[in-house]
Amino acid sequence: MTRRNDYPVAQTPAAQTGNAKPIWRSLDDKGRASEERARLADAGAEHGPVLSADSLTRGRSSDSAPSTGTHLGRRGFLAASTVTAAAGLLEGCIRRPEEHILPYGEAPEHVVPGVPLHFATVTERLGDAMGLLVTSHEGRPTKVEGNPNHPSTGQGAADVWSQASLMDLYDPDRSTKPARSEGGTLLDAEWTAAEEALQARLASHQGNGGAGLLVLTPPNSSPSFRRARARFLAKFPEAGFHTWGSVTDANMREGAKIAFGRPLNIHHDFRGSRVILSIDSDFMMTEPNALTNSWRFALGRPAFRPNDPMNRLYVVEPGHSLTGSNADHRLRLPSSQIARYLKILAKRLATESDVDLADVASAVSDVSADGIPEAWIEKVAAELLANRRRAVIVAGLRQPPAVHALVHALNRALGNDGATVIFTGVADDDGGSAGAVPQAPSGGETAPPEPYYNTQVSELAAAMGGARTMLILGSNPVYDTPADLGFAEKLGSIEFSLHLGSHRDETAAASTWHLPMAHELESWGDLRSRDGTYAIQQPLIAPLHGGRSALEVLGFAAGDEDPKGHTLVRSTFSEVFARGPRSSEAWRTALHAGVLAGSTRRPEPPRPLDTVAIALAVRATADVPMPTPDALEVAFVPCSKMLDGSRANNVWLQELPDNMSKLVWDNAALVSPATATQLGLSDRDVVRLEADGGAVVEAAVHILPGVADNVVVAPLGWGRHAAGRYGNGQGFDFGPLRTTEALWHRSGVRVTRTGDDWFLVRTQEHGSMHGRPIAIDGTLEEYQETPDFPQYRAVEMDIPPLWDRVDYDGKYKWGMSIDLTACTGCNACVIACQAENNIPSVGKGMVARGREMYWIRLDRYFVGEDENEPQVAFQPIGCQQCEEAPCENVCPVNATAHSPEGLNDMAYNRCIGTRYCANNCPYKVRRFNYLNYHEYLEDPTNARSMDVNIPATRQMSYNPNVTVRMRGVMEKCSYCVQRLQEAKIASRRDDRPIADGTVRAACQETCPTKAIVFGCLNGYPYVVRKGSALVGKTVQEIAREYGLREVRIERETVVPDSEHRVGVQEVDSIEGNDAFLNGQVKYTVYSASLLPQLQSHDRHYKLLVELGAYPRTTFLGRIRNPNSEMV
Amino acid sequence: MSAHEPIAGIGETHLLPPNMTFNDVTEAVARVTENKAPRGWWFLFIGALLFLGVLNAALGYLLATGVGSWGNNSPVAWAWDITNFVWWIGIGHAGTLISAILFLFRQKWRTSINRFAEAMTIFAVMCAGIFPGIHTGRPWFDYYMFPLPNQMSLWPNFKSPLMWDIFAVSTYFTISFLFWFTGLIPDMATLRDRSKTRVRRMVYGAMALGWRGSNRHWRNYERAYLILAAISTPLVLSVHSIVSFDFATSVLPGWHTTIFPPYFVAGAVFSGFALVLTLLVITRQVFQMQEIVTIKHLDLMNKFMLGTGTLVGYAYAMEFFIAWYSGNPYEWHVFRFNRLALTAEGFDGTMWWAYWAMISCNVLVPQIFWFKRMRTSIPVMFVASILINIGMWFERFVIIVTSLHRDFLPSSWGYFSPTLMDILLYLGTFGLFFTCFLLFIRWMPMIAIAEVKMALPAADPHWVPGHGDEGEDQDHAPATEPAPAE
Repeated sequence: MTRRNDYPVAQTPAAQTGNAKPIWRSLDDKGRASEERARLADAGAEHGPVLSADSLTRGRSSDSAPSTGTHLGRRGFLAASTVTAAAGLLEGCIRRPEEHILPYGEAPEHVVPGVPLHFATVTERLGDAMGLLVTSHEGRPTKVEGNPNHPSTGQGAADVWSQASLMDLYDPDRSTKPARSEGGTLLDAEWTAAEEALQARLASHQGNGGAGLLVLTPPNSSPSFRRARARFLAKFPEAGFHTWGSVTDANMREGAKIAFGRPLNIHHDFRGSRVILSIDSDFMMTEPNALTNSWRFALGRPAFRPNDPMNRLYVVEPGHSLTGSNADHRLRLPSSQIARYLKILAKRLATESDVDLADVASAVSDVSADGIPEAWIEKVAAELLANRRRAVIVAGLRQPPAVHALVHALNRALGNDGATVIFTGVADDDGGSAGAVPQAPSGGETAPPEPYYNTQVSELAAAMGGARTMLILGSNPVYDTPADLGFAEKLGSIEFSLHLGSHRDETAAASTWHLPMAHELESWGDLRSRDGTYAIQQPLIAPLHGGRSALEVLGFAAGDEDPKGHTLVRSTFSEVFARGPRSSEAWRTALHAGVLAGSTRRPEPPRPLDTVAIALAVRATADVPMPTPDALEVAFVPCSKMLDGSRANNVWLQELPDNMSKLVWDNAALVSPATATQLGLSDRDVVRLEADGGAVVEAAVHILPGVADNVVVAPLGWGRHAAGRYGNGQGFDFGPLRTTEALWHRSGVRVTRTGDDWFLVRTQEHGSMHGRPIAIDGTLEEYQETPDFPQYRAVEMDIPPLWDRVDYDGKYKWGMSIDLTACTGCNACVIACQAENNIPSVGKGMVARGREMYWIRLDRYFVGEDENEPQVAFQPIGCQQCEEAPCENVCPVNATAHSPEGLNDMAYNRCIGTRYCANNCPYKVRRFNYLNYHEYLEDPTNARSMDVNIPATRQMSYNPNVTVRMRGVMEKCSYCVQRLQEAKIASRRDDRPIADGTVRAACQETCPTKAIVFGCLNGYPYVVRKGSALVGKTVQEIAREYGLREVRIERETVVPDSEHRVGVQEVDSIEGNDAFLNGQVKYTVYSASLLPQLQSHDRHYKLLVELGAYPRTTFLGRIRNPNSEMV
Repeated sequence: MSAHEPIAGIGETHLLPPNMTFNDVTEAVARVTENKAPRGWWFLFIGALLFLGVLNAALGYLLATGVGSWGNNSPVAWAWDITNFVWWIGIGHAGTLISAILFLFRQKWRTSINRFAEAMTIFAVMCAGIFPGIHTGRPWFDYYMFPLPNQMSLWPNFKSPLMWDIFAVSTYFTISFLFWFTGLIPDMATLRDRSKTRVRRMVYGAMALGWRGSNRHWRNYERAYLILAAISTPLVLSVHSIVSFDFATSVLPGWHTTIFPPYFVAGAVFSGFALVLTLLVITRQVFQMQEIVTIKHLDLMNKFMLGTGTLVGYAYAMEFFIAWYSGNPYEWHVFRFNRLALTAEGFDGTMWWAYWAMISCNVLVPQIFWFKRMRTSIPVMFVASILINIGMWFERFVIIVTSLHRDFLPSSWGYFSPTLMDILLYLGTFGLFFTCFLLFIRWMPMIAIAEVKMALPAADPHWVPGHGDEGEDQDHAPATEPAPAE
């Protein structure tokens, strides 16, 4: 039964005997009656009992027999007619979406309606694994968080892509059926037909051992996949198996191979490093392990006491990455010059090396230092040398292997190797063994493992020439392979090509078969993180569209008997990771925890540095002349939103403002103000980028301070044309300029204006603070001299409150503190808030009108005199929950009011949308639903329709604990009030005080650097009731028993009708005496909260404090740590 | 036009021609409602109906689509909607000011224009009243703003200036309407008595409320009129003061200003007079009423506009001065960049044009009325009055939009550009206004017949004998004490 039909309307005896028809019955003919009744029953369930004729007769006299029911009294009749008329009117006016009720035929285990479940799983990120904790409401994944047990999450954070993967799962444009290409178009087919076709095709290769058979996959670290690959290759030994990812850490692995003879994963200790030199590495955002890197980086600059040690970050980069924006010193250099910079630095450092770097030194001896500031050589070298074993040099994935190799040499030279830089084996160099046992250092005798991970593009091109059959499992190479490969063309000449993908994308269109791929949240799998930790990927939901995972398809191709994801993963687990009788238990434990305990690899012991190979590689990197306005450099960078473009149809990512440029729904060719002036470009101009060989790309220009001069930064992942309804035609594809030789930067590019304009939209147009004390920052020196320096800028004034101050003693008093020193500006909080609070995306045109709906936004300000060399200040701003909230006074209908806990609450039902509150909000954090945004994006032309037009899959993503707001309603950050209520209920239910850190706002929960702290300003008060398990216990006992950091008990003499608390005293224990039982004494247990300390910290300040609104959110001023000698 | 005789000692001239009789007045006014409408009226009326249609279409679209069809955004959550509201409300000030305050001050020249201005007030307030109702996100819940008993005991928030608005505007409308209608009673009776058809007799008869012109009627009438005038007078000041509280009580720089109440009232009177003048100039031409609405009336109105315009200019200057003098960087920024935008590099800012449009129309244009030639030139005053109304619209736009678009945090700064729906809705309100107004001048005595008669030389006991004796018509003489002399 999918729909509840015959629902008894009124449970009175009269109704049951049928004597009295529900009065509604008379409205309709019999055909519609039952439907109407069902609807009313639903309505009744929400709004109270449904009227029956019986209840109406009571109006006349109570002693008339109600059960006869047929007699309508005068009053009853009047009431009935009124209600009928009102119901008729309401029916006409109120939007009542058509609903289907889907009860469980068979109740699944553990599922309690309304109570969410959490499951651990894992997702792939740039060759790394990222552990997730997914919230599921009645079988629908609704929220993705980081799994704190997993090493890649920086203790439980989740990056924007993990958070937004929900929108990938619920993407309405996902491929739903296999398809066969006929005459260039894809025609729907059945899975059986697809299986047969693939089976037959593979059978034809059986004879020749798979010659002419080619598999292409994106890189991943899944042991099960590797095993399936081995089986496949065993069956088809002649087959080619290639890996391609547009954005990978291939260069890092190659660099390690040069330096140490084998690929290695590199781990940097940013926490223990005093000096960090980033060579074009965006290690906080678009590099592997970014979350843990960010977390450790933040731990390395605590700034809670003026004498805390603080790391110092130097960044050399062409664009303006997130990491660069957090730098203490930043050098803008074209990508092509970065190798030269490193060589010069190496030349300087080699002289004072711990190890013999003579070979390397000779390789870099004749490098010129043109265009590189002296300080960046001398001072940086001095700092690095002064901090031997406590410094780290990190190179980014965009830099060629030689740079990585040279960085390894320098880290070794400075003694950082083994101290701040450690290595672990890569996932694929163990042939699929457990790897829990560290490999013995094997000197030179073991041949380097087959690096299937990073196929050379040239090899792939060669292989495709002779291929007859090609299986593309889960990637979109037509879009993201280098232009010179001519992938689409080569693919077209292959007889049988099969594409497994989530969408019918560019590659699907060029293949002969397309199969829908299951999302990571729909399929079984396993992944090893860079440090080897094994995690099982468990599905949260059955494949929505019947897709299969790459593992399953590969297993099928390898001829597995039961190519089900679960079987494959389970067998890997029991055969490799947990053999023996306790395997099942270990499986369950690993599933539950999200990681397999003990699977983490031990660091590799230091390997001998192959200085000869490094010197050779370094010599081989030719020095490229500096780019000039006539021959610009195009630097391709992974987009901080789209990464490599595979998520292009994700509305959350599309609309997420870019970290630096704040662009939405577009990328752009980013140039520095100086270059723009020189080339006569202005923002939004469309330019033609022409490279040698006829490659041309047209793109809009955006002027971004901080980009290297004569460089065009080209974020990848945009300009898709077969991504889906949201991704198509957004932004610009710089792919045509990207070749095998120029994978990350291309020199000699000419720029000409086409004369066209492009509608570039940003969420923040103004980057200057205009000298106002907004995102307050200072240097470490200032902080040491004047620890409370922010308070001298945001001066708290003695403004008397307008209304009586509320007494929050003994009550929850929620607050938040945001540490601007820790905030890196990574956007994770923005997406987390969007997911938690059902915040709609509104589309580019609406953002252009300033109507984006984010409850928390990341303000980005440029600081400094030179617009080309800015420093950056980030400031996350959500509702500040002012105690004297300006918004509350002006609402004519009391729709926004203060809660007894000091929250500035918003009653959506009451809001009529005068928008006065938004005008009066100094922080402009209130967002108004100008249109029905949840459906607007689906069909902007139909936005005025009263029907709910939201794709069914999208509706599945909603958090049921938060209202979905309609048009005309104001909304804003509520400090995740639904979570507060949940915690309070749990505290009452379990009879225990709330422990600090258990109530977390969504933004706080996902912040990789723990910059956001939420809590109770009083400590968490818990009123002890009669019969509570706390009665009779002392402070120490309560703290110990409930794991609380600090506990305080207040005993209060209760005076009836007294507005103020009287007779309050602190006591050591709760006594269950008569006074307590009779309610004359009240005990309140306070558990400690970190928040009061932060809100009274030297660095704290309140934004716009002079307005006297008493915001509850405070900020901790940002501390920079510049090298005084560099300035 | 006949000569205007100076009154010895005061230097006043008579407003109306000395040889004008009571009958002349009756004829001049009543014939408009009795004769066929002139062709000009029809043209205007059809045009007005078209715009009324636009209004209805725009409202329908708005209700179906939502306020998102306007250009409002974040940070500019109010824009044309509230601009139009304040503008129309401001226009609605002239009527009651002319009727009530000038009545209490015994300014007899008001009699020729007060009816007209009062009607304008009512229609302008109707136009204004549309906006608070429809600018909300969910207009179908507007009733939440009224203190209606409900099961949840939820009351409106009386701290909110928007609540005060609701009461202020509705009170103002009610009183203005009553005042207007009370003034109409004797004239309705006149029209009734002249009726030649049954329908007219019935309709005007009903509206005359049984007026017989008896002494007691006159006595009660005058008392009622005086009381209503006394009630209306503070309302003139209060309504726009309260409307100004919408802004003044907020924290927004550019809004948070104590000068707003008097400044708004002066501005309202200023714009109200300007629109009365615009309409009067056209109407007296179309209906040949130069005898009753003389150039002297127009001259006086222009003086009023000069006065209020200068007051408004003073307010602009003082507001600016205080923004600088207070040392509040946010407020100073709003005035210096959002509005004035005059920097060393020339105009720098995004909305300077609105501020300068306002300054030129409201402060500079009225200065021409220092010259009598300008005050008495119909084309000049017509153009000036239209410019003033444009300027006053910009004043509200400047206050609302330029303050909002760049406030405290530069990260949230934005810009406003109107959509077609903004424009259509605004134009549509002119349709409503002019439809009502044209119906009014066609079917009702657009000039207060009884009151004009009181201002005739014949009604003046101090009249020097020998002038205009033959013009007296005892039948139409007002059966009341003559208006006291100043």
